[in-house]
Parts: sequence; structure tokens; C-alpha cells
Amino acid sequence: MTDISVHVTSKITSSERRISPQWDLHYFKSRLELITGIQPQFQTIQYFPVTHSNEYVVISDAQQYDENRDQSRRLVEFSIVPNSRLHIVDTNPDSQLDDFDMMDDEDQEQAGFQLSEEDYAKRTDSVLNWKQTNKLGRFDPSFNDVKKQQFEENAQIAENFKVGDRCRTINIEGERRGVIRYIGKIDILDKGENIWVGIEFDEPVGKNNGTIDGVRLFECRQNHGSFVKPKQVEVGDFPELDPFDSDDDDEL
Amino acid sequence: MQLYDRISTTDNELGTIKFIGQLPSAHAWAGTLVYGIEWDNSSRGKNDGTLDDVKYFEVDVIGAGSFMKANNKKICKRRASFIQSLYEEYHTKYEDQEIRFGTKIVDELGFDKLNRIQSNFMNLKSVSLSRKSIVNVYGDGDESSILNTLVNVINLDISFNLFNGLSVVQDIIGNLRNLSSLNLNGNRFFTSNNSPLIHTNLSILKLSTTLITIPTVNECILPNLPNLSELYLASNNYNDTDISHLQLQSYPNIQIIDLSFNMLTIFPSLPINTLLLSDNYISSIPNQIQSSIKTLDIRHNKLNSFKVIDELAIHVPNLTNLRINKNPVFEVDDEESMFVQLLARFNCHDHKESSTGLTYVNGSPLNNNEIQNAELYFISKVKIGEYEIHNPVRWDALLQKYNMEPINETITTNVYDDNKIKLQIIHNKDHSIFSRVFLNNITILKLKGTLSRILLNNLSILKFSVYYYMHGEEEDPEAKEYLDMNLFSQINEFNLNYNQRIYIEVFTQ
Amino acid sequence: MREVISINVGQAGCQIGNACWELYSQEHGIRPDGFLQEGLDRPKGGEEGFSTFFSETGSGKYVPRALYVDLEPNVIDEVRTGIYKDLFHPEQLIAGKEDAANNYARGHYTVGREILDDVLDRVRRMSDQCDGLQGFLFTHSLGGGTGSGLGSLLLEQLSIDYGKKSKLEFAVYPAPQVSTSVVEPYNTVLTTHTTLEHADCTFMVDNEAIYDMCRRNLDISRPNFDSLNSLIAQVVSSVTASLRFDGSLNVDLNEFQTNLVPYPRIHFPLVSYAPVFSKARASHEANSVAEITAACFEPGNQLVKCDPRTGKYMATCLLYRGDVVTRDVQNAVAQAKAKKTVQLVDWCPTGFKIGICYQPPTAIKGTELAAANRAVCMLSNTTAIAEAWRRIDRKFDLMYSKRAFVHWYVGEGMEEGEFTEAREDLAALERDYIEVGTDSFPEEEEEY
Repeated sequence: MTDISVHVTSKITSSERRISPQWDLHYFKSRLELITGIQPQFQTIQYFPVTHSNEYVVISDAQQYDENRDQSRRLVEFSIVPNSRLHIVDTNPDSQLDDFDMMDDEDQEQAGFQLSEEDYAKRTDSVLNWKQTNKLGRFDPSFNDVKKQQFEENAQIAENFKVGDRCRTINIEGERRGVIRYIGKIDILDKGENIWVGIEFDEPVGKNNGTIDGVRLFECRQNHGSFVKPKQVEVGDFPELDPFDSDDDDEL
Repeated sequence: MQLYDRISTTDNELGTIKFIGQLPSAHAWAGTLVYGIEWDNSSRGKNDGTLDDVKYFEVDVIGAGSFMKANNKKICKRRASFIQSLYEEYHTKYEDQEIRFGTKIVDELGFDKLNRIQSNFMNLKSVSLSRKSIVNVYGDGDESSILNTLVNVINLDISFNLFNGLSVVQDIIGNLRNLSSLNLNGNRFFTSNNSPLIHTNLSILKLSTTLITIPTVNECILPNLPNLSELYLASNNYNDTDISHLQLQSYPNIQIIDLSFNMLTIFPSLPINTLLLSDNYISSIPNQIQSSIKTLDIRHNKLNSFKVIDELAIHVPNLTNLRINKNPVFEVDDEESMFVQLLARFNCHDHKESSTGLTYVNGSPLNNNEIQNAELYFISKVKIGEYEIHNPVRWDALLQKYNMEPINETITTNVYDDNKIKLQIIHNKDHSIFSRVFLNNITILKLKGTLSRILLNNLSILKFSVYYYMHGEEEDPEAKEYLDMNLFSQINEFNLNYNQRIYIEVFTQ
Repeated sequence: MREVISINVGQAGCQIGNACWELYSQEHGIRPDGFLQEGLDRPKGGEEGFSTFFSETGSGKYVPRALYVDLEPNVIDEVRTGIYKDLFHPEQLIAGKEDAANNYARGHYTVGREILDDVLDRVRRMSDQCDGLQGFLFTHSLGGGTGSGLGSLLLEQLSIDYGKKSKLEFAVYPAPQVSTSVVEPYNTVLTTHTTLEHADCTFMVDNEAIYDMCRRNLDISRPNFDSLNSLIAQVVSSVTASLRFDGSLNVDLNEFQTNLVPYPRIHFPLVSYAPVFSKARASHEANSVAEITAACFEPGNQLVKCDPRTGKYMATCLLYRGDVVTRDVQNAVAQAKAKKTVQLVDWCPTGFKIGICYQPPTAIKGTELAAANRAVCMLSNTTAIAEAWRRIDRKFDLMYSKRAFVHWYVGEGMEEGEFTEAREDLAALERDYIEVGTDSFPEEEEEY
């Protein structure tokens, strides 16, 4: 008799497997343990002749577990057909298997193995070590200079801005016009590293309503507010654009 | 601009000019030139060519019309020639645009080499000039001999341009003698601008979203393309009558017809190998054998009963590849039961072993195991009356395949043997379901004895009870009735239906 | 000559190998029996490219430079009896008798060891037939016993025997929702730890992502392994196209590392592919260069489920094939830039590269995926893929904290210390990804 292919499922696993009708039930259960993690004495095997139907028969009940009897029974007795499904139920009252299925439990995030800052720093093959050795990123002597320079350039530009100025955005998603409502650092955004300009746009072309992560920095309507770097802002006489100024674009 | 000229807009819409003129003097637009436009995308339109109760033009699709001033900035100025577009796309000198992501400049490798190769048009095997606002073949100063250099082009895509007739298309392809595949989707072909397409090699022609009429297809497309084997006519608003006039009979080379996204309600009769009919409104199959069809895509139609599915199996007997999901008949079922129903109703074969019979269903290759599994399950479901089949030939074949006794009564009506009743036994512990036929006149004692033996490992009949819910009110405690109040009463003394659910309740110590 | 030897290990590895070699054969005009198709006097793709993947025998027959290795006989028996049985020499198909029972330790230490010498011997013989072997291409799963255990054992050994020859992997990553076996997280962590220093570049494939693509884009109602593998093969073919045909990027195996891997440990580029649509729909689906490029930045076209919008890019390679003009590519990339989905780490030595290969994709006969006249494959080294490691590491922790099933591994002679060592290494890898994503100067055009 040739091997047949069946679907083996349990609460946390699903796979296609080949089984041999010659196997005895005891051996089969030992293989199922390696797939499902359920020990033989706790396996109740439900046989679904048709994979997609909910009709099944129990071909081995854990409550009547008997190793010797299992050894004497061969799979051929159960007339398992190819492409059918065998669902293994875990009857162990102390089973831990459910705990291994964490898909719907985001709280587990912190529970796992943690590598301490020091232990990571000790590793010689780490990206951290590579950056240090090759003076990359923040280990690049010019890193802080560039950062400082950028900050100062932006700060200088922002000095000429004041809240209430008409303005437009430049170099960023087309021209949008509005009023400056905020100038300064924003801790919640980047730990206060940069100076930001909060703009209330004339049209709903912004990203927020003047708040960031729930912290209100100015008042405006939804999607009328955005925060950008001073370099992206130009102040001046930029009146509100009339969307209906060109009647050529009318259509009837 | 002239009537029936095509336009494109800055927001990427295409349309046809169907009116040129002025609005009445009372109108605010009086004195300016106005276009009446029918939009290809009908939802872009605002009316039917009527303004203030005056009809200015007719539309092919309801609601697809609107009016614009001729100087409206949304109307693209570009009206290019084929040659001009070809030069723009394929004969450019490489210029590094220095696209930057932060401080990184995008590294474009081998672009100059590719441009050099493509600049020699003799190297081109495939030319794609889709959405380039092309209206004609040559513009001012274009050299007519250029077309002759496209001699190696096999595949040409000039879809969604501003062509409004087949004559221009013929002027292009007439010179491309190795052309095998031509994409004209999204253009329009108006009768006055048409002449027959003539080409000896062309085998694949795409004419979807063109609204090309069936008479035009019959007169200008089919007769002079002897090698044509695939014709795509999707999204052309065809109805059943239109398609009944499609004259394919004398063109045996044509293998594939695509009629997806049209308005068919009846399965068309076409002597074709591959028929693509998805996204129509087909609900019925005419009583006529269509033996040529091997591949059929009938997804997203209105097939709403298994009777129609059986008719399809009877009238389209030589299918090898079928796509039929997303029809209303399957809405109530999950993917798996749909699959079982299809595998059993059609004559299916393992895709590795057979070149005849249905071997692909809904995109999946079939194998013998799943076919057998599905057929046996299906047979059992028909026998208990849960599924119906309206194809006696197929039913007999199924029974014969598994050496099963035919049931004497007609399959489609639920006439059962009065002396027997089928019960579904449900165990209260694990909710497993088990079905079995019993004689109607056995005692409850015997019923319990049988259940004990086959399902409960010879558990004493005193250690469990059996009950059911009256009037099909499952789970309603009011309707719950125990069968074993009197062990010597007979099954037929209870008001049990065929397939009645009987519950086993094992007592806990 | 720059030959590449493909090594397919375990059930998933061998089945993907089948789909790939079927497609390669079709692309180069080779029949299932190894001879040229009617009307060809030499294989398609030019001598140079073609011979990296196929060798020619005296009789005019072409043989893949490939090995199939599995610890149990079933899958390899199918190759031996299947349509492509004559394409391979019996020596290229190596099967054991006893499987790895989903256990990395069996694949790596006990059962796998027994077959190792045999495999290395065959590799040696194949490499002897090469003029200038450039490296190896592995396909295997990370979760199975043979794929993880024997796969990593082979990679280790090839590192010793072949020194600096490139080793690329296509690795099936466990699906996020459903495991095929309860110990998949262990196998994945163990094999990743073992191969981290031996593989140069690993392209991961998550079957769940592929399954969703089959259902959504190809409208296959019940995708099976054949459907999944033929889609995977199309992507693998796109990645290897420039090695086999005339192209401009990654014409050499070690270029993958140069272009994509800033630091050896960070070698898991995310793969995206477009267009994916079915034959029945091919005539009216949009596949302009702009559209397929934009699609590559959509999570639905990725081979691993993760969200690149949350990460930073260290490197991006766009590999176009077919009828593509440079102007369209430039415009498409400029549009992608305007959407600001890509933030490159500025201090990394790698960057943004685009290559073009003129050979259009081929459709595999009998499969749903249509042959488009152009396609694009995006390989991007993004920190977002660390999500995949975090996911599997957490699953590992849940089991390992209770020492569940560890005795199965110890029983095969593995030391428990290897679990902690591997887990620490993966924790360091997670850290590495965080570290690589920091210190970048944000693009000026930021907006919040």
C-alpha cells in the first residue's frame, strides 16, 4: 500500500503530511507529537473524511488511551482516504500549547528575552561596533557639526517668522498657502531636536489639526494643520488662492 | 478641431468632441466657442448632451456628456504623431536626472547602453506608446521611411491614444510586417474614419474599451487578418443581440475571444476554444451543445442556481479549464463547498494524467485525490437530499465510477423510503456529527443499543439519554423532547424529520 | 564563465526548485528532456548568461547546474518520475531514507550528518565541471527540519570548502498566522543563527504573503503549493534574470552583496514584484512602467509581510525586465520619490540602484500568472523586515521560557547552550536593525 497525503491540523498548527497505512497507531501518535506538540496520551484524533466538512468521527479518544492497544492497531484499519483531514485535540488539562499561540496577545512584547545594552555593546560583530570602528553615523566626527549647522540654518530662517504671518510651503508637495501658527521645538516629535513651523493652511491640505500625538500646539480645523522645517516655508504677501478664479475651467 | 476628434485632459481623461459651436446669446458663455464632449469614463460626464432643454449632441452612454469652453486649460494641447512619440520614447539620449533620495543619488545602470540599442529602431521587438496623445502617423517634418525600420517589431501597444478610426491604425501596421500583437484598447473607431485592417501575421488584437461595434468587427477586423487567433473585446457595452451578430464561423483560426465587462445576460453561442465572459450578467445557458469551448472564464456573473451549473456542464461538455467563482449561487457557501460542488458536477481529471476533462478549476490544478474526495462527499450529500443534481447522465456516471447502487426514486425530488429514516446523531461532549439510516419501526431501546455500540464504546444505555428539538427549534429548551421516556416506543411515534438531529447526552457521575 | 550551482534542500526547497527549473527551461528554450526546442540552434539568452545555470553535454543535451537534497525520499521520487525526470542526471538527486521529523537537530547533527559527505562529494564533482564557479544559490525553508538543519549544515561546510564564493539563499519564512509544526520558531532561530555569518544575501519568502497574492491578484480561490511555488519561481527568475541574460545590474552573484548589504549581518532584503495578474485579465490590466513601479511600493506586492513605511531603507535595487524605456523609469522613480515612502540611511555605503534586463518574463504553462511584456522586481534592504525576526523571536521565547520540546533537540545530541546562544544572536540582530536605522539625517522635506 502506498503512502497517502493528509492534512494534519491542531489548534496551533496546520500542514500537509504523508502517512503510511502500515504504521501502527502508537508510532503515528509519536509522529503527531513532533508536529503538534501534543503528547500521545493526550491526543484525541478526529477524522474528517472531507477536509472542508464539519462531519467527523473520532478514531482515537485520549480518554481510552492504551499504548499496547495502539501498538496493535494499524492505520489501514481506519480507511483513511487521501486528502482528508486529521484534527488532533489536546486533552491535557495542564497543556501549555495555548500559551505558545500569541497571535492575539500583543502584551507579550516585553515578556521575552532581553539583550542588555552592555551585552550588545560587548559584541564585536555588531552594527554598533562597525559604526564605531568606521566612524559612521553619530560616530562620524562631522555628524554633530552637520546637525548643528542644519539646526542653525533653520533657526536663522525661523527668526524672520512670527506667528500670524502669511506664508507658503516651498519644495514640498507643491505650493500650499496659509498662516504660521507655531514656531519652536516640539518635544513629542523629535525630543526637541529641531525647530518646527506649524502652519494652518487655507485648504484642507495638511496632516493634522494642530496636535501631535494628542498634544495641542495650535488650534485649527482637521487636515488644515502641518508642521514643517523652516527651510520649507516662505513668508510674504501670499493671499488666499481663489479656487474659482479661472472660469475657463468651468464645465457644464 | 472637428467633430469626432478625440481629446485628453490634464487629469488623464479621454473624450470625444460631439458638438462644436456657440451657446444661445442669453447664456453666460455666449460668444465663446464651446465643445460638447462625450467622456470615455461616463462618470466624468454631467449630462446627455442637453443644456437648458436644448439637445446639442447624442451620447452613446447615458450621462457621459458635458460642455467645456474650447480654451479650457484642462484640455491638453498635445496632439502628437506616432513618429514623434516613437522618437520621444525610444530615440532619446541618456540624461542623468540625478534623482536624489536624501543625500543619495539614484544610480542608473546601463541606461545609456539601453538608449543606444533602442535608438536603432531595427533593434526594437516591442514598442509601447500608451497614453501619448497620438492622433496620426506623421506630423510636419516626420520622415515616412521611419516606419520601415520597425520591421522587427512583434508587439505594438498604442492603447489609450486619440485615434478615432482604423484607417490611421492601418497606415501604421501596414509597414510592420512582423507584427504579431497589437494593443488598441481605449481608442475609438468611428465608421467614417474606418477602413479594414489588413495584415498577414497579426495574431493578437486588443480592442477593449473602444466601443467598437460588432458590424465594424465583422467588416473591418475579421476578414483580412488571416492569422488572427486572439481577439479582446472587453468593456465595449455589448448586449446579447450585438453578440448574436458576431460572425466568427468562417474564421477557424480564432481561438480566444474576450467579452468580459459587457452586458450579456445569455451565454453566447460562439465556435471558440477560449471564451472569457467574466463580469457580465449571464444567468442562463441556452439548450445547445457548444463542443468547441475548452477554457471558460465566467466569474462575476449572475449564475444563481446549481441547475444552471449543471446545464453548463451538459451544454459545454469539453471544458478543461473553468473559472466560475463569484457568482451568486456560491455566495451562501464557503470556498470549500463550492469546490466540492464543482468537482462533482463536472467531469474532472487529474491535471498531470489527462489532457481531456476538466483539469483546472478557479485557477487550481486538480488531482485525483481531491476529485475522488469531492465526488464521494457530493454523492453522500445528494443521497441524503442536501444537494441536488439536475444532470442524470453525470449522476449515473458518478454512481458507476464508485460501483454504487442507483437510487430508484428521481434524484431531484425528495421522495424517501417510508420505512427508513435518516438521523444525524450529535454527541453532547465533542459535538461530533454522525449520520445513519434507521428503520422507522425500531424501538428506542434498539436505537440506543445501536448508538452505544457504534459511537459510545458499549456504554450502558442507562448512562446516556437521547433527545431532539421539536419543530426544528434547535437549542430551544422549550422544544427539547427526550426520546427515551419509554424505551419500547418506536421511532415513528415521534415527529422526526428526515435528517433530524438527535442529541446524545452522556450522564456525568 | 561564471557558473552558479543551485542547491535545493528539503521539501519546500525541492518543490520551489522544481518550479524554478521549469521556468528557467522555458525561458531558455530547453525542453523537459534537456534538448533544445524545435527551431532553435542554441539556447535563448546568449552563451555567457545561459551557461551560468546550465551545462551542455556532448550529445547536445543541457543539464541544470542543480542539486536536490532531502532526507526523505518522497519529493525527490516525484522529480525522478515527473515530467522533468530526464532533465536531471540521477546523481543530482540525493534522498535519504529517514526524515528530520521537523527537528533542526536531526537535520543538522544526526540524520543530516549521514548524508553530508555524499552531498559534498556531488557538489565537488559539479564544481569541477565549472571554469569559474562564482557561487551557490540555496533554496530551503527555515521552519522545516531538513531545510533548517541540513540547509545550514551545508552552508557551513561550503563556507569551509569554497571560502569566499558567494552564497545566496531563497528561504521560506514561517507564515505569521499558522505554523506547519509547533517547533518552527526553534528551527528558524537556530538555522538563522548558524547561517548568519555564512550566507551573503538571503531573500525571504513568506507563504502567507504569497497565498494572499494568489487569492487577491490572481483570483485563485484555493491556492495550493503549485500555485504558490510558480509565483515564487517567477520572482526568483526575475532576481536571477540578469545573471542568465544580458542585463545591467547584478550580473555577478557577489554584486547582490555589494549593492544590497551594507554590513554582512544585515543581509535580508525585502522582495517585491509586479505585475501579478491572471492570464484571463491580462489584456486589460494596467502595467505601464509607472504603475508597476508604484505597485512595488505597495505592501500587497511584498513576499514578506511587514510595513516598510515604518522602516528606513539601507539599499534599494529596482530590476526591470522587458519593454522598458529609461525615460519612463526615471519618471516612475521620481514619482515614487515624491510620495516619500523611501527614506534612505545616508551614512550607509549602499544606495538606490536601477538595472534593466531586456528579456521579458515568460508565463509558465498551466499556471495562472500572465506573462506581461514588462515586470519589475524590487529588492530593498529595509529595517522593516526586522518585524519578521521580532515575530519569530517572541514565539521562540514563549516556548523556551518553559523549555518546551527542548529535550527533542538534546536527544539528538544538541547542547542546550546552542538555544541561548542562537537567541542572543537574534536579539543582537534585532538591535543591529535598530542601530542601522538611527543617526540618519532626516530628509529636509519632512512634514508631520
